[in-house]
Amino acid sequence: MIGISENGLNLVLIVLLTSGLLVVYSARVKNALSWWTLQTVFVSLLLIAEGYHNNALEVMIFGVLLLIAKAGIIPILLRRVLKESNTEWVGEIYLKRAMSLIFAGGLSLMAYEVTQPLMALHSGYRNGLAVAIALIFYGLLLMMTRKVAIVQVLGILLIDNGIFLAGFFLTQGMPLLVELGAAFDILVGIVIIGILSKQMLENYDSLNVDHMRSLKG
Amino acid sequence: MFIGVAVIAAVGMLFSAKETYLRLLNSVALVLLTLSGGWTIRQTLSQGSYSFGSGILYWDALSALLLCVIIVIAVYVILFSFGYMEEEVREKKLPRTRLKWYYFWIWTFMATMLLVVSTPNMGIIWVGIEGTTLATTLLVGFYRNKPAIEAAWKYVILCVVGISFALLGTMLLFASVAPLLGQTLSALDWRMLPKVASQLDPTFFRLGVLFAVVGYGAKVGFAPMHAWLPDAHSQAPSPVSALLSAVLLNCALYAILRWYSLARLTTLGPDFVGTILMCFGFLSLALMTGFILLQKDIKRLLAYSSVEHMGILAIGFGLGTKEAVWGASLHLLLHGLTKANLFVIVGRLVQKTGTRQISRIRGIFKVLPYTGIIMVLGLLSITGTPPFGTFRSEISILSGLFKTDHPFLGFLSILFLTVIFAGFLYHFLQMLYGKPSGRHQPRESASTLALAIPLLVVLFLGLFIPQSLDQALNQVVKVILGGV
Repeated sequence: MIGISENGLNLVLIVLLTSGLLVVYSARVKNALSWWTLQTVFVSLLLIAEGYHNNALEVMIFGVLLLIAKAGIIPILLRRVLKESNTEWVGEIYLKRAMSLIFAGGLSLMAYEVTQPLMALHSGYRNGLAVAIALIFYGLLLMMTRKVAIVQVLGILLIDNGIFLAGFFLTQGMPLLVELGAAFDILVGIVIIGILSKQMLENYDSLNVDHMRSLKG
Repeated sequence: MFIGVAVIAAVGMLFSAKETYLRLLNSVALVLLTLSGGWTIRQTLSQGSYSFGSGILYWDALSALLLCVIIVIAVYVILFSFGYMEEEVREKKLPRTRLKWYYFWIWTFMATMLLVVSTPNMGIIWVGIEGTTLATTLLVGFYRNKPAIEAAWKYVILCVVGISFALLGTMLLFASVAPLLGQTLSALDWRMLPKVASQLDPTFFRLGVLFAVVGYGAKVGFAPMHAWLPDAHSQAPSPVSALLSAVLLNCALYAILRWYSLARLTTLGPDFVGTILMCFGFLSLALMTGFILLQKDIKRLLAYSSVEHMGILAIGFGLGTKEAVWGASLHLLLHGLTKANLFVIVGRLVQKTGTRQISRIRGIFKVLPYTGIIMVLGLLSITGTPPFGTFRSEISILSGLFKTDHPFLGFLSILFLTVIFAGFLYHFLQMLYGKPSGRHQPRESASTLALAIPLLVVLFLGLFIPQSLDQALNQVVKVILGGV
């Protein structure tokens, strides 16, 4: 295993899944962002624990870098954009909060169902993979049903966490260079999206993406 | 080495926005890029493959083809950028200081694309493709007005999500290959992968390749994932549209081709990915016919035509016969040249007339006769009319359809291509003739004709294929089909 007992791993998985659900259920963008940050902290800790267990210093360093970049820089950046735009509402237009929680529950079951064929794995990994896929589904759900730009970004970030976890449980991590590249890309991506949302704010006075409907055909 | 040139050039652009400084730096960078790139292509084609830095960078014939497309089009488009962007500054559409950011992002974009075609690694290629999305986002939204920001937002969200699925696919590939080659970076290297291809776990690999094709496919702009493409292409500054359409789409397709040539060797069999590609191809071709016929905006017209041509390429590569893949490889080059030329000339036209609406552009022959001539050439080339090279490449793809017992699909494709030809002819003839409206421009000089060089190359390749090019294309076919 990865240096965490079966029970410990299950506990971490529960935290990851619950924080994912809470991102979906949050009524304020600020809270959703906090829940996502909590989740990312646990994802990074999982990586650091694995590095510690295998005496792999470079994995631990990467885990710390991930902690700084994803749980530190990204939330600060997004919080700043939120503050400038005075956005609190998460933009639930198509699906209200309670309903989206029910949807997310269904999606979690589906995640277990679709990971069924891949399951020659250890039971702890199996649960881990299902949670990872569930997080990807939550991210897609947020992106489809929410109309505030920053919440859509949270969707991307949830998907990113999910994919990272999937890689972690499938292969105990991709080659470090690829992981580094992927993490760097997501960090730059969030910076660019931040710049773009500022420009959006200047043009539209809000972060509601429903206002952007001029390009058709 | 040329990646280094691009990175240094990108940083260098930030120091000053003076016209002479930017021109000088860009020219030096382009010369260095052409020399080092040309040398690499030459080495690759004469030796079959070429590696640099103990194999971190590696090129075979397929990468060399892409490298050639990138460099040729970049030189053409960046040279055109000088005049175009200066004109935009003069017309007060942009402040001068923003020009340095423009060139910074252009060269960052170049660096990421060069990385994509220089790495032999399925993981690094993903990093590179994601990098191209990020580098172009702010270029798409460069004018910072409402439609530009809408387009950039749509672009970055759709492509980032699409490409993250490709990352999931890469992970599944790694999961199936790690027990065989170990948990190292070289396990994703496509010099190593073919050796163990037949032993890959089919469940993992099938899922992985599906995610990868759909994910990168979103970036190629296959229908029905093409929603971002016309918006991004129509709102970006025209030189950027040219680069997006003629180079970036090809780079994403290149990533799919790497998966495709690997999948042909696994237990899934040669046709699994090929069939998926052909489905995407036909869907793109069929849907775009309607969009092209009903189009009102000239840059969107060209964007939809790019989707259509990506569809044709997907059909050609997906068929997997020698002739069709040869045709598709040639078409990749020729479509790039044609589309870059068309975006450049249309960009100039839009700048002079001040509108993108087809219905408001009339009488080009009277006002801008040389632009008109180039547009006629472009019209003939983009629709695959003989004697242009695109006719030759399209006909070898289509004949592949008939030879492999897909006569119905063959007839349908020809029908679609004919309707698209009619649509293009209709739109272009309206613009070329008629009474020019609005402000009359002073007549242009004959030096405009220099912009037609890529189209003349396409015309030349339709009449005559040099033996060296034929050999290079045969090498590309061998790389894709795995020595068939």
